Amino acid sequence: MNQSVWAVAKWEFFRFFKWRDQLIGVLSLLVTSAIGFGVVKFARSSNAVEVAVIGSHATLKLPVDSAIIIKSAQDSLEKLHAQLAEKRLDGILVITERENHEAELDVELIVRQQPSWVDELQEGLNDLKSRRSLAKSSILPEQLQSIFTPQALKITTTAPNSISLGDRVVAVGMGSLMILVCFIGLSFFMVGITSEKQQRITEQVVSVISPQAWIDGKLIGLTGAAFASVATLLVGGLIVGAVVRMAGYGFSIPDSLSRWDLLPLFAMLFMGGAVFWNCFFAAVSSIINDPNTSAKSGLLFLPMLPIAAGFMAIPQPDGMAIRVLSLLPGTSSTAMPIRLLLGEVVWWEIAICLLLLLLGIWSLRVAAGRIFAAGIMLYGKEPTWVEVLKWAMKS
Amino acid sequence: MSKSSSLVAAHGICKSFGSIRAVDNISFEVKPQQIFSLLGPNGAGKSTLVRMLIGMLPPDRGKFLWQDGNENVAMNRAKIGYLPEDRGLYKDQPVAATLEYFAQLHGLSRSDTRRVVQNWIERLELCRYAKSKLETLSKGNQQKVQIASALLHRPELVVLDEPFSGLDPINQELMVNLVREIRSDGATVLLSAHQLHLIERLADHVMIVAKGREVLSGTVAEICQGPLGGKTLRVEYEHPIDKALLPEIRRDVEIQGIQLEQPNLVVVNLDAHQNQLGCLNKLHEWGPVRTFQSRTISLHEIYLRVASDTEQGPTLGETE
Repeated sequence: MNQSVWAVAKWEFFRFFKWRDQLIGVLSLLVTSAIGFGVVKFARSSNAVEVAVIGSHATLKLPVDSAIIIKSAQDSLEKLHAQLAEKRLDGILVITERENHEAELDVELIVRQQPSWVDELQEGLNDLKSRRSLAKSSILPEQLQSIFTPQALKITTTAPNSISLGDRVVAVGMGSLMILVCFIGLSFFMVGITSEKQQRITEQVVSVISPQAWIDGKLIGLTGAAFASVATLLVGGLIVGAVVRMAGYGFSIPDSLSRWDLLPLFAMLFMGGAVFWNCFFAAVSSIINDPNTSAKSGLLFLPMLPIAAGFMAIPQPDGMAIRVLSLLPGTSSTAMPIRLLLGEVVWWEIAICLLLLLLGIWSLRVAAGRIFAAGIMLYGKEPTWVEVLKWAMKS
Repeated sequence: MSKSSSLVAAHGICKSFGSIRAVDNISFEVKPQQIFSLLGPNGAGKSTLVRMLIGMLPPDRGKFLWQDGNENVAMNRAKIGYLPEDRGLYKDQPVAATLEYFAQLHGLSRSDTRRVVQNWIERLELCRYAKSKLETLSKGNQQKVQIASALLHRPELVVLDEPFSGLDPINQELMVNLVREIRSDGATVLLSAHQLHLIERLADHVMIVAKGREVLSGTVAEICQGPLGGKTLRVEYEHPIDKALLPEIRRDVEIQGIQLEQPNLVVVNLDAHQNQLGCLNKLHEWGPVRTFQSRTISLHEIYLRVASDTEQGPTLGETE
């Protein structure tokens, strides 16, 4: 690869990937997360609800993290009503034993408006009722617990790896990252190429290097910039995840995240898929005169459909349709990684997938180079699709 | 491959866009270290010709033959520095970084890149703007950066398409000096422009094109003394002249044309070889003369004549 291609790649990379902007982006993510985390904490602590109970409050057990504070009513009902009206109290709970049915309770909640915390209270009351009923019967608490415990079901899988919820989350995350890479690539190519046309830079550059060298450099530089941007976001996300975990909001790390053996394959599929679609973005961007008014701008979003189609692999990773999609260059970058994580992929499928991806990239690169060469020199009017097709076919 | 005395020679170049013939069988030779100027009204085919010369457009017919006998222009990219008519650079990028980028594209090594860029920044008095974004510079300074980006690699042939457009007289003068410096550095310059007073001062060879065809070619002096050149006699009489007298002059002397610009002002066009004195004697017979003036027709007037013979407006599939 000649010097000019690398010069373009470096220029385009740093034209769109600015360390300062990325750092600001990550810091913004961290600050926003910290603020959000703090707000949730504060909201939980400041949402304490005070309920005065008249009757058997001592036996009322609420969930551990409940915001309801139960206090024994010392004042008369009239005074409690006054406190409720003055918003010094959030509710009055009146519990009375029903005559001739000692296990049964009549419970009335007096509030200013329909409360949002009624489910928590209901949970405590249900518990109270169960315990009172149990005390009147001859059933031991352990026996009751056994009655209500669901039948255990042990699932034994015969596939080498079982699919956990965490694995599915990882699969969705990987597909989403691919879509994000493509979205960022799309924006870089559209902004980059249309601005070069609008600022009349193209003729100066094309007088120095060939359009194919220019597009090759752009493919390397802008694909790299898109991956670097996503990687920065990912680092920010991982920091937030680590902080959340350290703060006690634990979540388990899925086994699929430790599949380091698949990493090179994932990298090839992601890179290949991004380059494949970036060829398409470069070609379409070069025939757009003004992205704000061109009807062709919408076409740039078309690849999102085949990329998103890869998500079909999540519920049925080895279905016939998804096996085909995982081989095709436009869809393999999402479908194949998801299948690799959740399904069973045989070696020849991987080989065909990579071969088709390489062929697809090469063909689309050549066609895109031809369209780009003609499209970038066209100012003021946009070509018809017939013209674009002719450019793509003719060297 | 045979070596040629010209740096580049165009042989029977033709180019059509649809049904429009943009360039029609044009041939020319550019000698080493020559300043060769292409002139012509808008839509004459100059930019199309230039774009074919630098390899951005393929000719439908004809060929460009380079001094080394090569016909493949892509191999000569490194020998050409091109300033396009439709020009612009990355407005949001610093001046020095932009020039370094173009130096790298031209194939300069990293150390050469720094040295050459620094030289050009100093030469064009852009030192204080080296780290400024291009959009913060005046149009004249932006133009300087643009031309530097085309010259960083010391090309053998510098192609300048409308280099003076958009520049004020001071910057036009700077550009004239720069073109002369480029030539004195050993390069050959091919330029197209509309500023004829500057071309008259600069060009060693001029080719006027119209409707895609060559109309005139030669040095400025040759063109001014050629079929569209010559002299103009302006005779102002004491009294108004009878218009019926005008055709009579052709009976006695050979002239290109005559017209009554005002009731007492007659203008006669003569080519370089026609008898100016005989004409003056004849005109003197028509009445007492207050003043008379004899003037060589300028390149500007020749250009206007060519332009007036050409349909105005963009008739070709290009912007000029």
